[in-house]
Parts: sequence; structure tokens; C-alpha cells
Amino acid sequence: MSCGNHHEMPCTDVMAIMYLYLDHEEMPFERELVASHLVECAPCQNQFTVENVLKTLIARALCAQQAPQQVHTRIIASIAEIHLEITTVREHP
Amino acid sequence: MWGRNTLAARDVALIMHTATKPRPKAVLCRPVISVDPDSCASNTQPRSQVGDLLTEQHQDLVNFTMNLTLDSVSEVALIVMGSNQMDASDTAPDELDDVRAVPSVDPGNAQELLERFERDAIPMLDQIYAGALRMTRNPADAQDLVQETYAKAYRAFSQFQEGTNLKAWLYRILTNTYINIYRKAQRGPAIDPTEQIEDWQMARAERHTSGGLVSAEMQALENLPNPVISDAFSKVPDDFRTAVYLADVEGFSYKEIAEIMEVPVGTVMSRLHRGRKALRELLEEYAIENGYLKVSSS
Repeated sequence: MSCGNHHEMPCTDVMAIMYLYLDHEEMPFERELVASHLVECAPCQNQFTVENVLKTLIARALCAQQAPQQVHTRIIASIAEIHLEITTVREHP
Repeated sequence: MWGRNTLAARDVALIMHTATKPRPKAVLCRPVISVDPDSCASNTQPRSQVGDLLTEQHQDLVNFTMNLTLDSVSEVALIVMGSNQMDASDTAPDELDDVRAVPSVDPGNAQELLERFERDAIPMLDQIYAGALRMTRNPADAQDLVQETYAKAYRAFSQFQEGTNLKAWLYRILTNTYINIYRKAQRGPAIDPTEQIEDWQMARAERHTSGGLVSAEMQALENLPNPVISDAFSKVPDDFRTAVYLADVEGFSYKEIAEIMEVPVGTVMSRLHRGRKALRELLEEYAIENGYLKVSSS
């Protein structure tokens, strides 16, 4: 797939590393090539934008809420119990 | 004075070590909560700590322990040991379980370990619970999973290298525990055999359509309410869902996700690609069915 125009980095290569780029996992040399490609190529830019919107949406929608108090209480009690266990076992190997 | 709800685990431990001595002054652990501005859990408020309270069931044990006139630490230890035996065998074995075999802990180290755990690991509870909830899709299972995760983490905490990524370490235990507990019954390999490293490169063939629909789609997606996204996300297959969650919500790098999920980086990329693709399709479907996105026939 290609938009038909000439780019230093072809559309296919740009699309292949789309997620790497959006996840900031691209190679340093790729960063510039992709960035300048996106300025020149609207179709690729659109795809990148949609995927980026999706990433943002996921982060927004799934953002961690506070765990219920009950969870905190349970965990803290459990840790206290384990602490007692590991510190008292020492006395009686 | 001893407040009923202000007993710290370490205080209880201290009582037992000094059962015949004057009671020590209660030292409460007030952790330093560092708020990560990049984290979506930054709205969490400091809450009760191990050092702040024990639950009623443990309070009973503590009250019982405190009310006895014991001649030695060993008597308290025996009581406490007896009360702990019931839950020692019902956990799923995995690589971290062998730390149970090394229970002897230097008291000074144990104290320091507890303080560090309270300061560093407990504040991540909200995030870990949220992650567990996305994995299990069920609050009851998520609670069990988080409890098991934190129990394992605390037992293995002396093996955690301070200064390395604690959240990734906790997530690794979480993922591992989840697989051990909830996947045990499921047959088949955890890694889909069709999952190829090169799979993510399929993006090149699938994408790159004209711009018109894309901006409409973008707007439609942005208008979707959070519960719709959350619901669609829960329909994405396990491994893909976890990878996407770790990348997009927790912001882990591919390398970190690979370590957490114990798969090669290529598999992480594949899972991200598949997970995002699946989610996008589910959301597009929802958007079309519910009028967020108009599909023109032209």
C-alpha cells in the first residue's frame, strides 16, 4: 500500500513501524524519517492519529481507580500476618 | 496508649519479642506517598497501612496475644504459628513459592523490609488492583489475585533489588500468579502457536486507507463513553489485553512488558498489535451500531 507519492521512507515502512513510533520504541534514525513522512503524507498521518487517539482512549477509560477500602484492609492484614509468621519462625527453626 | 486500630504489624511483632518487658511505645509507619504525575493513579490518597491497622480477625489474635501473661516469646510464637497454619497450603505453587522454605529472617532486616514494603509497595496497591481487575474482569477474583500477589511479593521482597522497577516487579508477580491460578484449568499453551514474531508487520498490509473515514472514525471513538471502552476491552483475549494494558495504561516499555509477561519482545509487539486491532474493531462495531459512526456507502 502506498499513497503513490515518493517519500524518503515509503508508506509501507512507515506503517510497519507505526506502533513502535507511537509507543516511543522506534530507532533514533527512524524518528526523523517517520516525522517528515507524516508531514508529507496525509493518509499515513490519519492512521497514526487514529491509533494515537485509541491509545489515549484506552489510558483514559481504563485509568486506575482507587481500590475499595476492603482491598486495602485485606492486603494490610495479610502482610501483617506474614510478617508475624516470618519473624516468629525465626525463633523456632 | 494502645489504640485499637493503630497497632502496627511491627508493634505486634515487637510485643512478641519483648513479651516480658515493658511495652514499647507504638511507632506508626506513615509512608511517604510519592505521586507520579504521569501515572493515572495519581489521584490516590494515602490510606491505611500495614502499620496502621489490622483487620478484626487479626485484631482478635492481637487482643488475645496481648491479654495473655506469657513467660516467653516462644509461647506467643507458637500461638501465632498455629493460627497461620491454615492458609499455608492453599496457594498455587510457582517459582516464587520456594521463598516459603526460607522463613528465617533477621529481626532487624524484617523490620526494615516491612518499612520499605509499606513505603514502596503498598502505595501501588490501587494500580495493581486495577491491573488485576482488567485481567480477571471480576472484583472478587481481582481481590484474591492482589492478595496472593502481595503475599508473594512480601515473602520475596528481600530478593527485590532496591532501585530497580518495583511496579514492573509487582506486575510480574501478578501476571505469574494470574496464570498459575486462573489458567491452570485451561488447556493449551499460554502462547498462541500462531502468534508469530513478524505478525505485527501485518499492519503494513491492513492499513492506509483514505483520510475521509478516518477523521469521522476518530471523532466517533473520542465520543465513546469510558464504560463502553472498558467493556470492549474486557472482550479482548487475555494476553493481548494484558499487553495493551501494560503499554497504554501503565506506560511500560516493550522490554519491561516482555519481562513481566515472560515472552520475547517480538511477542509483545504481536500482542499489542492484535489487542489494539481487536479493540479498535470492537469499538468501531459499537460506534456504528449505536450511531456514533455513520457509514456511507460511497
